[in-house]
Amino acid sequence: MRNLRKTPAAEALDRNLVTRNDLIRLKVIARLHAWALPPDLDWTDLLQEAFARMLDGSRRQPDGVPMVAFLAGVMRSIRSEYWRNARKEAAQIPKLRAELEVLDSQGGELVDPAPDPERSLIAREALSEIERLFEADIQARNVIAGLFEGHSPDEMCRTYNMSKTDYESTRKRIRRILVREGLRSPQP
Amino acid sequence: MKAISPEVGLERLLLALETDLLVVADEEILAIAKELGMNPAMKGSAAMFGITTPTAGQVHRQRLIRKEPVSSFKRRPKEDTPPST
Repeated sequence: MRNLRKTPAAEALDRNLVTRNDLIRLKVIARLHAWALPPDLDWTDLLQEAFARMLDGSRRQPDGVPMVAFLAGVMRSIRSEYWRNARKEAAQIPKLRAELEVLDSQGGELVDPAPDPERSLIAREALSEIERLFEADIQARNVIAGLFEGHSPDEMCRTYNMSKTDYESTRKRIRRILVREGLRSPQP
Repeated sequence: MKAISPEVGLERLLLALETDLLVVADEEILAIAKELGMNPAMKGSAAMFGITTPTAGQVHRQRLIRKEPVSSFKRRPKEDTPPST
């Protein structure tokens, strides 16, 4: 009989480090993060890696920070770390070429690496898809644009002439649709 | 005005929504799960798919994330703080 390995999340549940509701909340958050992941990784990888790092002690929950918030932060940093590593690997290629070149380059200075093209492409595709999802919802598009530009809720309410209630209900609508669409994507 | 790159803008959007999802009541989260036909209260529910059930290729993909052999992982604990609301 095949011995199935327990997932890190299942391990954490068994140890009462999280509840089932916590796990579902983290699944929802992981699905959100997945909008900005490359195609060879998915939300389950982020989630399980976050739990793995918590369980092996390489990430420790700070005092006063709830477990779910802590693990959400770990997922974000795993995602950043992934892209940082990808950028470093890409930067090795021009460096290698420069080392192997017979002729001396003029300045001898390496140009700063351009923003990661793959990450940029994935972001553009995600934003196009988000735009399509909210095509008919002008309030949602305004709030998304405002969040994209880093505006505060008060600024957005002023700019787009929205009441606080409208703003809150629009933001709720946005997150529910993004999460729903994320959860609706084919499961691995 | 400096143009915002798509990855920075997307990051801001996701961070804002993550902040919301950290504080909304369980009812909203469970309502979303139920809309998709999940019954989190039921053992073996699809709600737990990918969480307590390993998915195909997961071990391989975790190696992609880690990039390094496990032995070279720095064990120094790193505190991860949530985004400020």
